[in-house]
This record gives sequence, C-alpha cells and structure tokens, in this order.
Amino acid sequence: MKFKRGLLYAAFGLCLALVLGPILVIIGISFSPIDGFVFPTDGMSLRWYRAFLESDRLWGSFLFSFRVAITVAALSLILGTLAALTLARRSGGATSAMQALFVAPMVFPAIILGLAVLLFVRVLNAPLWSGLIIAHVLIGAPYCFRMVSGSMQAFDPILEEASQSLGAGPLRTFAYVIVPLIWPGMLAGALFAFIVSFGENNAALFLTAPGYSTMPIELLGFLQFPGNQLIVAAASTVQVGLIVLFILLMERLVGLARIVRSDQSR
Amino acid sequence: MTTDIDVSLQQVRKTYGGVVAVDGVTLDVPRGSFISLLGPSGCGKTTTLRIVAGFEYPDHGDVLIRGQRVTDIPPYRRNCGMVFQNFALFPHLSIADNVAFGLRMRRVHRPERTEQVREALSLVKLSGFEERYPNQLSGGQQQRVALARALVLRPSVLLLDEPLGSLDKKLREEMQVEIRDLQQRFAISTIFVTHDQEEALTMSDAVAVMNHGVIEQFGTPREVFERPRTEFVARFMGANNVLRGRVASNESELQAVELGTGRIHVRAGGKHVGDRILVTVRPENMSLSRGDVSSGNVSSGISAIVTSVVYHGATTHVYMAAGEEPLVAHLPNRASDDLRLTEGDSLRCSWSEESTIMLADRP
Amino acid sequence: MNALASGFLLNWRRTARRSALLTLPLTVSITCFLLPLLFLLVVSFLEPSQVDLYGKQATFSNYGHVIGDEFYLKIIGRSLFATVIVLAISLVLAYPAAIVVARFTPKWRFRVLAILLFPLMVSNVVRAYGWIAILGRHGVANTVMLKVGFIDAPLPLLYTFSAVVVGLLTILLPYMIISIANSLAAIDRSYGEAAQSLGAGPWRAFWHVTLPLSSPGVASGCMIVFFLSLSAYVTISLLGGPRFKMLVSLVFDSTVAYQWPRASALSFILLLLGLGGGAAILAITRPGRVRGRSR
Repeated sequence: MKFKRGLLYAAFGLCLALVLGPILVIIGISFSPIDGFVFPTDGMSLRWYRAFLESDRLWGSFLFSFRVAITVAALSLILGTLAALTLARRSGGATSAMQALFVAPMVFPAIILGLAVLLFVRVLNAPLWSGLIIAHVLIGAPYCFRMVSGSMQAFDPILEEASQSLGAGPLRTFAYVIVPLIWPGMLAGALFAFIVSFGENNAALFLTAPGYSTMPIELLGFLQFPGNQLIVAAASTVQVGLIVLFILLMERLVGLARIVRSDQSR
Repeated sequence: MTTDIDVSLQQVRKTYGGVVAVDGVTLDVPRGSFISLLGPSGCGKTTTLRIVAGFEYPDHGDVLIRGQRVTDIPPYRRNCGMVFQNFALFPHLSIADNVAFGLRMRRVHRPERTEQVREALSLVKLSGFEERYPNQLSGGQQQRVALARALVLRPSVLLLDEPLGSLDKKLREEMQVEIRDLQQRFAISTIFVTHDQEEALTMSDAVAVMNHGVIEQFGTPREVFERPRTEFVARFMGANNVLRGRVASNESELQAVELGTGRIHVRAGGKHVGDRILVTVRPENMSLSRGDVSSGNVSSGISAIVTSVVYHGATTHVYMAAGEEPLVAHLPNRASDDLRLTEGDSLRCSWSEESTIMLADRP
Repeated sequence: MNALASGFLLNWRRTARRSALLTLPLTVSITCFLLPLLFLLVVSFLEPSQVDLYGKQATFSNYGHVIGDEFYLKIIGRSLFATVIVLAISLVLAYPAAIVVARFTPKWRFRVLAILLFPLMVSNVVRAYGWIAILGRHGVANTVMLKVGFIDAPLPLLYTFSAVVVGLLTILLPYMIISIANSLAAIDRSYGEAAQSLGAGPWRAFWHVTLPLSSPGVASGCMIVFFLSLSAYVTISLLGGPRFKMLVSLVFDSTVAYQWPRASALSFILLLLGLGGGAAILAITRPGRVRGRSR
C-alpha cells in the first residue's frame, strides 16, 4: 500500500518536473549576470531585462503582441458572449453541432489553421495581420464562450422572466440583469483569450511578417541563431509573469474551478 | 360587462411537441378575487399561469386582461405581478433595488420611487432591510420581498407560482395568512398555483382543479371539497373511497344501489334501474361495526375485510377491502379502540345518506 | 381570426429573436474557419504552379507524391511512432498523477490543476527553450554532470528523438492530467465502495469500476495529446534540430517554399491521421458507455 502510494506520488512529481522544470530553469537563468547557462548562477543581474527593453526587435514585438492580444480579446468576447447567450441554455442536435463548431478551433492543429487562414487572406488580398487576428480570434473565442456559458448556467433563467414580468424588455433585461450576473465570466474569458493569443506560436508562424511579428515568433527567430540567447530568457520570464498575473486576476473573478474546467475539450 | 373581470382565459390550448399541456381552458377571474389552480404536477396549472403572464403563447384561444386582448403582447407590457416558486430575487441587487426594479423600468423618478419602495417594504414588514441583499434573508423574508416587488407596481393581476413550495410547514401557514391579508387589502385579483389542496382551500375564493390540461371542476372551496363532481377531484380532495354500482330499485325519492358487497340508498334523480353509478364517501364519514351486512339491523352498508390498521395520532386509519375495492375509514381513536380491530376481521361499513357523493361516471 | 397560426408564429418569433444573436458568431465560424479549410482541401487537389500559388488543373498527384515516396512514408511512420510513444508515456505518467490530484480536497485540486494549466498558456517556444537551456551542449544538465565528474565531455542530448519526446511531454502532459483528474474527481466515491462491498479487492475495484468510469477523461486526454503531438511544429523543430523531420515539419517546409498544393495535401494527411488516431482511441476506450445522454 505504502509502495503503491509512493509510485503514484513519484509519477506526480515527475509530471510536475517535466511540465514546470523548463519554465523554472528559464526564470532562473534570466537573472544570470553572464552570457551562458551556469546553474546555479553566481549572483544576480537584470542585464538581460535591460537588453530586452532596449532591443527594438523584441520590445517592438512585445508591443505588437500586446495590441494583437487586446484586439483578439475584445473580438473573442463579443463572439463568445453572443454564442453563449443563445447556446448555454439549450440542448439538442443543432445546439451541440454549433457548440462543437465554435469550440473546434481550440484543439484544431493550429499550424494547419494558420495555413488555411494564410491562403484565405492571400486570396482575398487582405493584409497578413488581419489573418493573424482571425486565427487568434478563432482560438480565443471558445475560451470566452466557455466562460460566459459557465456564468449563464450559474444563474437561474427564471431571473430573466422575473425581469420581464417587472416590465423590462429583452434589451433592458440584458443590461440590468444578465450582464451584472455574467460580467465576471465575460472578463475572465477576455483575459483567457488575451493570454492565449499572447503566447500562441503555431498559427502565427505563417501569419507574421517583419514589423508585424508577435513576440513568440520573434523569440523563435532569436533561438535559431547562436548567441545572445539569454535575452530570450528575460522576455520569456516577462511573458510568464504576465500569465501568472492574469490567472490570479481570473481566479478573483470566477474562481479556479471554472478556469480549470474551461480548458477541457469537454 | 367585462370590466369587472380582470383576467379571462378563452379556450386556451397549448401543446409542446404534440403533448397537450393545456387543453381548452376557459376561466374568468373577477376583480379582487383569489383563485387557485390546483392539481398534481404536470396537470397544466403552471403552463396556464405562464400563459397569463405571457411567458408562453397559446397555440389556440385568447387571454384578456381587464377586457383587453393580450394574447400576443409580450410579458413586459402586460402589467402582471408575478411571484416565482423560488422567489427569483436578483442576487446582484439590494432589497430596495429589487423592489424598485419594476418602477425603474417604468421610469418612475427617484424620489417617488424611494417613497413607494419604502411603503411596499413596510407593508410586508421588512422596513430597515433596504440595504441588505437577497442571500442575507431567510426564505420567508425573501418571499415577502418578492411579494413587495410585484405589488409595488399595482399590477392588474397577481400571479403566484407555488410561492410557498420551498418554505417549511410552519412558515407556510404564516405566509398563507399574510398573502391573503395583502391580497384583500389591495383587493387585487390573484391567480395562485399550488398542488396542496389544503392551501388552496384555506386561501381561495374559488378553486379550479386541473388534470391533464383540463379544469375538472371550478367552484368555491366548499363545493370542490364537499361536492366533488369527478372521481379525480374526489380522490384529489382525499375522498378515496370510490365505489361503482348499479341502481337496483327506485323507492320513492331514494334509489337502492347494489355496490358489490352491499347495498346503499342514494338520492340520484334521473337514474333508472340498471344504470351504472359512481359514488364516493369521505373516510371520516364512514362508521364501522362488527359483523357483515346481512347480520346488521340497518338496511344500508357494505361488507369489508380489514387489511391493516394504522395509528395516526388524532385518528386511526382502517384500511379494508370490499371485494376488489379498497376502502379506508378514519375513526376517532375511541371508536377504533372499542372495536379492537385486527387484520382479517369482517366489518360492516355504513354512512349516512347525505355523506354519499354522486360522481359523474365516465365510461 | 387565425389564432392557431398566430400562436405558432409568436412562439417561433420568440425563439428566433434570441437565435438571431447567433448570426455573427456563426458567420465568423463558417467564413473564417470552415470556408478556409474547405478551400485548403480544394487547393490540395490542384496542380502546383511555377508562377501562381497554385495551378488550375485538378490532380491527385499531391497526395500521390506523398504516398508513393519512401522518404515521405518514412517521415510519416516516424511521426506516428513518436506520437504513439508520447501518448503511451503520457498516459502512464498522467494517470497516476491524476489519481493523486483527484484525491486532493477540491480547493487543493483546483490549485494544482491551475498550476498545471498555467504552463499551457506559456508559448511553446519558451518551453522548448527551457529544454534547450537544460539539454544543450553548454546546458544545465551537461554543466552539472561535468562539475560533478559524472562525465568527461558534454553529451549530445539536444537534437535527439528523446529530446523531442521530452519536449512534447512537457506541453502535452497537462492536458492529459487535467482531463483524467477531472473525470476521476467526478466519480462518486460510492461506486468504488460498492465494488469493494461486493467483494472486489482494491485492484479489481480499480480495474472494473474506476478505470471504465474514467474513460471519458482518458479518451479526451488521449485525443488532444494525439492531435497536438502530430502538429507541435515549434517544439519538434527546436528540440529535434533542423535535420529531424516529422510530418508537420514537411507542412511548414512546403508552405514557406510556396508549394501550397503540396502543403495542403500534407495538412490533410496529417488531419486524416489525427482523425484515424482519434477513432482508434474512441474504439479502445469506449467512453460512450459511461457518458450517457447527458452533456
């Protein structure tokens, strides 16, 4: 019995090490005072963070990613909320089919999604960055859909009827009853869409160009050439910090349970 | 002529995917009256109420409120006050804001709104609770807020959908009195949906007993309780002894009826010898004595065999079989003690001629 | 007055009004997701062109080339092999880990799951870079082993099959653990107790009751892992090195070489393999027997 439990915990520990190890190592070496992986480092320095801020390429891509992510979050919020308002309380074949359609891009191979969208924008002669936004919205909107659906299911639909019986039409019921009840889910969904877009690097492979490049793609470029690699560690740590911050915010909004469930492909 | 009828349902019919929920219901609610829709779950009472409120549109028939056809008017333009089963208070709004919600939707100005909210809350004895939130209130208090929220709008009709279902017994009885008080004070027409016959009888001016989407009987509480017209209403009112028989002979104004294991006399005008007849007797109106019908000196009664005896506090319930038919009698404990009943005893059940209730016999 | 028709119309209008909200998301999903995919499918059946992105003539040759070429077949085989290995290891590691997670109190369970979820938000680039920093020639592993005297010269750890597998495990284990842990946590404790009261030992109770009841989580976890490990281009190219090719690398290479019909055909072969894998996973785990009609 003891032995069995030991094995279980060993597997758990190994999983944690595999999943978190690389990230922790990067955070560690990002404070390295020298150019190289020495672990543990002798002393700490912020020189790679300074280098990150001073690098036009990386800092510029960081800002571009930020702008893309904000746009994606806003569009995903609109689409996800609209879909959730109607689908969260329904069931049946058509409803499941539409739910599957909205959620599919979440688990669809992103590189193929990127290729398909690339072809699409090329044929329409649309700018490449619009393709990036489209691909990221397709991936981000399901998170908003899930989060808002969760909020919709958490309150009794009778409240909408109560509101109507008190004289509020559909629009005012939405503004005065539904939104006040689901805004935490809406905001959490938007934050989710933001960080997903911010870190996405498979669909973005084909949908970025010099000057219109997201940070993960820029980091990938840095890694394909030797030297100066610790600047990547610093940039990565900034990304990790941002994600942790967002997850803490979302925890405040809707609680961990909902966040953890929303990433399930059902 | 329709001005003193607040709500009128005319031949209302509603189906869900081929299943009939409400089947040709016609009902008038006179101004200021308290009407209950009573029936088991799935009988269509809630659907009927929701049709009045406007949450469901009937497939057929019309709804009139104060003489105006509202069949195709959405709920938010109907001015019905509705109280829901679990109150449906808005969790994100304070008590005052909950009560003020409808006034806000009607664009009543703030000073007037505050005044009306204050008044409504004092009416339901919740002054001082303005700033609290629904989850800080007990079930009874939430119920009162829901009432205040509906009443503050002076609705044409108050619709109550099993509003007492989630309260415990003691609170339920208090609220019954309170709701009735408020209703009479405002003289507001009320439709009350319940599955609890006692609740319906104590509160209403009139009761509509529903079954399978149809009103089986509409009448005063006394009428539906004492003179049920159908087997369903009789059983729903607790008159569980339903007996089938045939008229055996006409003796002046009384007819003798053969009932399987005995014979009784009833007043059944218009029935002829040989006609089928359906009667019911309330369990508390039955008296029991030892021996069977032939041994007794009373000419009216039926024989039965005791199947079980259950002590119920104030009374003792005696379950019997009269041939195939199950019977039950509620006896005062003294009477049952005297009889010293045990399973298998043969008994004679009898009751006065006025206790016999004739039911419409459906083939 | 035609009351019957009007009642029907009113009910229908009420549902329709709310459904109108779906128009926008549905339009976006169809025009920006389904339509481009359909177009990709069409392109995969078009001839390559020297001047344009794709030719006008319909052909099967894009698929034919891949299926007839030993080079491609070998790479497809290797992709499948790697995917199956990753799937097997992640299942073996994630199931026990999920059991541990599912046994925590809800509060701690959600904390641990959130800790596992957060890396999923971090770029694959960043996480692959973490392994470069660990496994590289001058990486953490080699430096430490040299210092301790375990080895005399740095080992070539990076750009190997194992490095790719480890990198894929890093990005895919969280999906598997979260998926299985959620379905394990949803199993009512009384099932296991019922089995034990009926005379099943802990091991048999697990095999006959817990394992089948967790099959929906196992199935969805496996399907995500299968699909994503086939298509995790960044991880594969960074940790496998420029010479290590998998099917998804071919998609990338043909795309950047402007051989779009070829890239499209390779994409659909990849999707087909993924769907086949998904079907096989469903056939083996049979989650339908537990899931029932509820969502």
